[in-house]
Amino acid sequence: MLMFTDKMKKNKKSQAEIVGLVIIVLLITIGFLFVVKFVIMKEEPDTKKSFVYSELASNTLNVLLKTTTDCEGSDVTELFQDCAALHPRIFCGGVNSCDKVNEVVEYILNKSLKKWNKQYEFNAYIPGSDEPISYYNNNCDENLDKESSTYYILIFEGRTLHVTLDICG
Amino acid sequence: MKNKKSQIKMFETIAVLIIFFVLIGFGLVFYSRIQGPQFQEKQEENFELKAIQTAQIVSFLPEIQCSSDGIITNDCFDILKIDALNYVNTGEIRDEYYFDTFGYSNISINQIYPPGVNWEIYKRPLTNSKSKSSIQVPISLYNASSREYNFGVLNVDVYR
Repeated sequence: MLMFTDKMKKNKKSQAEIVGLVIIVLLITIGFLFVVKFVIMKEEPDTKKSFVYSELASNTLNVLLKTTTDCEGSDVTELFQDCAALHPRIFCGGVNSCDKVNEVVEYILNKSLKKWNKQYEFNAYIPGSDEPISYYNNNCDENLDKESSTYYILIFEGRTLHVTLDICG
Repeated sequence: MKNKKSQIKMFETIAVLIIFFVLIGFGLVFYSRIQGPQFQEKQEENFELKAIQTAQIVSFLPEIQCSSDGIITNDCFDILKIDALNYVNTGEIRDEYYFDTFGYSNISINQIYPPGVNWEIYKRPLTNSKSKSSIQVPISLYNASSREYNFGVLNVDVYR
């Protein structure tokens, strides 16, 4: 009888040891799975996307502002300067510089970024003024990642016009 | 009796070896499963980088880049130079000449504002290509006769 109880005790002890071992193995396995998930299978940065988006924002804005329009041979920068001035002077075919610059910017953005299904936000504004001179948003939310490009245009009255293009996605 | 015991021991050793090799096999399969997609991703990234590299080379191609007194203007192509390039080098001769630089790709320029002309800079697509990477780069198109800058797009398609 004494021998039987002794054997039972020994059996229980080894069972508890096995359970402990199983728990340790389980913990190691879970740890290993975490390593696989977060270290080995981590997402690589999208090289093309980040490069293309940053280049796209700066190139588009740079080229857009340099583009010559059919309004008295003025370029987009000059039209923005005139539109932001207190006394605009440029008129072409009965259209003032503000309407003309908006027409040109909208046309170019529609035929480039919008056509390529890019989400973007274009904003030309004078800090402190109520309304922007030009604003176009193509599904660019606050929450999305953005590649931004900004140009500062000096206006005749000494103020500065901020022109910003964000490519989102 | 002793024989039977050693036989059992031998079976035990063989079983341990089999389990050991099975475990190694599982390990190898698991490792290759993880490495396979990573290798493919790396290949994909290299291909994308090749497309970006091609776009960069075209952007700084001296044959068509805008320059004044030897000073280069970035993101700008001279319309007269593009016309001259198309006139001097046409079709197969041009594509053969630039093959080492551009490989299997299509390069073209579209004038967006004012709407109008399109130019083909290089055309050598790969027949039966597995995939294609496309990049569009906005550029200025300078007309030296009228001294006007037009809005254009450089299209680069790279094949593999």
